[in-house]
Amino acid sequence: METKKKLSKEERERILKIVRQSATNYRETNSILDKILPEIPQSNSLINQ
Amino acid sequence: MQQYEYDFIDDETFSYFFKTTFQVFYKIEFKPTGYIFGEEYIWSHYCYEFSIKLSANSPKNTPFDPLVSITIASIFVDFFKNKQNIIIYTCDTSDGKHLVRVRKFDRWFNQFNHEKFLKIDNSIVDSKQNTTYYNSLIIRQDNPYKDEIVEAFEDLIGGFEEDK
Repeated sequence: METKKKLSKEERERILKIVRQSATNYRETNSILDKILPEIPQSNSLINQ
Repeated sequence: MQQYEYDFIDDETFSYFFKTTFQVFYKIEFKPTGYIFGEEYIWSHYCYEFSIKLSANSPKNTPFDPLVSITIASIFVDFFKNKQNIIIYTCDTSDGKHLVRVRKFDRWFNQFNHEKFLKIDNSIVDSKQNTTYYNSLIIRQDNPYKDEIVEAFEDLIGGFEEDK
């Protein structure tokens, strides 16, 4: 059976720091993508929620 | 397919520029982020985050312009002319709209994918910030380091489990 490689606490902290920074970096881009990407039809978005 | 023409500057950060018929100036940047995986991997030097920016003097409240997402998709394809390039995308969750955002991004990605690219999605729970980060890895299917990159991404993000 395949098992996930568990990261050390230090490695998890390092990754969290990177991901938090990345999320912050992407905030403006996400906001622009929200406006420029076509809306998903309402019926689909309700089904998928 | 109709799209806007764009300019490209090949520097440490790859930058593309275009202007819409509504006089909105877009800048698409691909910034190196090799530190995510660690510089010891030869392919980490091809790892990028992308950003979309508007020039400060771009008009606000312009009508929806379908050519913008088509042009940015075309820029993505151009960026991936180098088959070793890698994109790490993180979805912002701070406003609670991430599920709609993820679906919109997926729908857009699938429109230009045509089986040429591989996208792997994963998430990390940040209990301290009480939030979940959605991350995607995008590479070309024929990336020569494909298996190694996928394994490293899954080890990095998938191995992220907090102590119980």
